[in-house]
Amino acid sequence: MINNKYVFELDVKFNTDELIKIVNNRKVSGLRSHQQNAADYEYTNYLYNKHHKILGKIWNYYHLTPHTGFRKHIDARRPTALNIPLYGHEGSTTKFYEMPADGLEYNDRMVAYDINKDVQETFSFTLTNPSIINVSEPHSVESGPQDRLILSWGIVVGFEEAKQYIKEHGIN
Amino acid sequence: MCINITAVRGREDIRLRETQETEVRIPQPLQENIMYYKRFSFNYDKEVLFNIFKSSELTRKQVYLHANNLPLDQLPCMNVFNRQLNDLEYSMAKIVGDTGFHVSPRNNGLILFPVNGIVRFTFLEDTVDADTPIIINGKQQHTYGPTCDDTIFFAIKIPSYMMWADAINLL
Repeated sequence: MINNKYVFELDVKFNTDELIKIVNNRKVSGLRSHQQNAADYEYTNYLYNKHHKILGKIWNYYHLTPHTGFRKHIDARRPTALNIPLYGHEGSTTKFYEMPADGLEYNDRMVAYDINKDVQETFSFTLTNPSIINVSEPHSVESGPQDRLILSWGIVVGFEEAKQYIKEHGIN
Repeated sequence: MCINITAVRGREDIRLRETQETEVRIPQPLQENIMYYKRFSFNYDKEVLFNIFKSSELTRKQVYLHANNLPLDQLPCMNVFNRQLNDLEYSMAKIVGDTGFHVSPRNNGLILFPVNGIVRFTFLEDTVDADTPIIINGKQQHTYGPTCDDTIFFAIKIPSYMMWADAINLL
């Protein structure tokens, strides 16, 4: 299991069938197109109520078609995320990079800081297990040969605090 | 002016030693949300910092006017988190607009000292005016901006490796 400054893989199971069903039958949330309110669904509401000390009220879903991705960025409104792969993770890659000294550019549509300069890659992995991701570090995502869907739930505390919480309380 | 903070691990209090004769205790509010921020007492000379800012060359960056080439020997000589100021990132700036909601991308927040005017921090469920020295949790979503035309602050950035709970205990 990966446990470094970017990724903390979890040895836990979520009900991914239920999460896929929720995403496929999502409501009009009034939020950004990739966002949903945890309270609007029984299962995510259950998880939120159980772990409200670290989980945000909103979760995101990210659907990537084959061989597409998100460029290098830092999430702008959440320091940490619980990422749950739902399908299509084979061949996908999440890369992390060194933090640039400057050059972060806010991208309102993505709610992220874009990194428009060359930075050294420092770590890469394939999201195959639910993981805590340090989205305060520069990262990018590329899908593999299939459609890829993940649920990405914002965590309202820093990466190290989130790890500590989960070690003490679990997360599912 | 030279002010030293000695932070003692495992203790909540802060011992202040300074060359100035007087120590002003700032009244603490009855309630504060320490998930978001924590005020603390610290003696420093706003006027010295204000004069440094006014005599500095400034660089505009987003909603800030940053003072360049701060004279380290005239800044509060603080031992924060058992590190000297020159081992930490710090800045003095005038803020001229709201930052917009965000989490801090390169650090875990700010230890902020008001210099002139008051910076107002708004979190999702709380608002606080930084009218005293204050430590702000940058990993909680927040926005901040000026409350008057000439709002200037000095801030030390909380290193990204430092957990919030440790930061407020060490300060």
